[in-house]
Amino acid sequence: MESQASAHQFDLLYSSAYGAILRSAYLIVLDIGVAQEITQEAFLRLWQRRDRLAPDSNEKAWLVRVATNLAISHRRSLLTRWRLREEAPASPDPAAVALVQIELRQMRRALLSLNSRERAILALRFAEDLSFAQIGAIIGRPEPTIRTWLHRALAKLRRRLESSSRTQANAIAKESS
Amino acid sequence: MVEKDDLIDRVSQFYRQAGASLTGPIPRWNPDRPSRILPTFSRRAQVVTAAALVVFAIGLNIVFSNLRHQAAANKPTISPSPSAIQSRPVAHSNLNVSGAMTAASRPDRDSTCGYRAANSRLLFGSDPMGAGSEVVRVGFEISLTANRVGTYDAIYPLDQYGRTALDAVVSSSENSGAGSFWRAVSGRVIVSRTEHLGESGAYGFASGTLEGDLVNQISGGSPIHVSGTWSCVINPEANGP
Repeated sequence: MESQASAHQFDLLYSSAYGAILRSAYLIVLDIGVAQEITQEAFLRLWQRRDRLAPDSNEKAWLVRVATNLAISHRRSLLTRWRLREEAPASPDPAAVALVQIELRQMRRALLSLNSRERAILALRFAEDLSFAQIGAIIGRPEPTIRTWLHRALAKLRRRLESSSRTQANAIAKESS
Repeated sequence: MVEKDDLIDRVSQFYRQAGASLTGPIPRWNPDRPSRILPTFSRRAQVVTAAALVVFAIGLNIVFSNLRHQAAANKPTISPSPSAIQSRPVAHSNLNVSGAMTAASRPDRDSTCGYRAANSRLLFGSDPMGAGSEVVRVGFEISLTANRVGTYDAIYPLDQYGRTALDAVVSSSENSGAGSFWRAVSGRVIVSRTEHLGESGAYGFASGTLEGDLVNQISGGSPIHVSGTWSCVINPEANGP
């Protein structure tokens, strides 16, 4: 009976938190397939330790932390790397379909040129609206370090976007001439 | 502030749209399905792996360093100038001249040789044989084959002045290089042993036998017959390319 109750409780958590965990992972890896696998892994880890969780523990926060760190440290397969380089994936990936606009595609490419830790900090800060302290707690680094990393990530992103814009402007000029 | 510029708006907008596009059914929870993400390394595992790699690299460096030292120790020592440690060989020819004149090698005198590696050419000059107004020096110049040892034709024509491989100079004294030239009309030079030929800075050595009939290049006349054993030392300065 106790086991059944625990399983039911877990199902509820899964249903309510799945979207948020998937989003957390996706905004870092920018690949829906990888994000789904990371989400599954995060829930699996929680499942394996479900009997050891304190009654008042925040499972969702725990899952976000695990998913974020998995997204930062997971080893990309060659296939994933190749897929991420594609301009506009022709997969039925709903997120990718939404990213066909030039601005978003450029941003996606620029973000993918950053390392996963930089992407995680940007996502946690600008998508999840977390404080530096909260980000530091998730990633496991002190707040000043997170500030520095965010500053560097933004500078790097700016350079990449500028470079991308120049390349595009040159291509357009070449086509029109 | 960094976060107040247009870039932040663009990034935020990107995240809003990307996040909003994540719609779809939630897959059924299945704890039996393992995830397909590649295994990750914990920070501790990374540190341990890095440390192990450093230790391995240091160990490898030590091993290779030892191997290099061992190889250097096993390598035969070659001094810059082999002549500095190589004692000069001794060569004594035992040639006899008979016929129009008679002479013989003296055991206290060396014959000398030269060797040119470029064309494998061996030059031999006997000690001055005889005394008084007739001193004869027997010599030959042959191009050695790959095996070096072998039998060579005494009358093999050399390019210039009708010279033959085996010849002799008869002069009026030991100190004079000028005299009458005698060319081989028959005979052979046998090379039976060579050492260090063409080795820069080293003494070379060659030996063998020879025999031949030679006539005066101008007057002809009665031949002289030369035969016997020959051996010679090639001084380092004459044992070159």
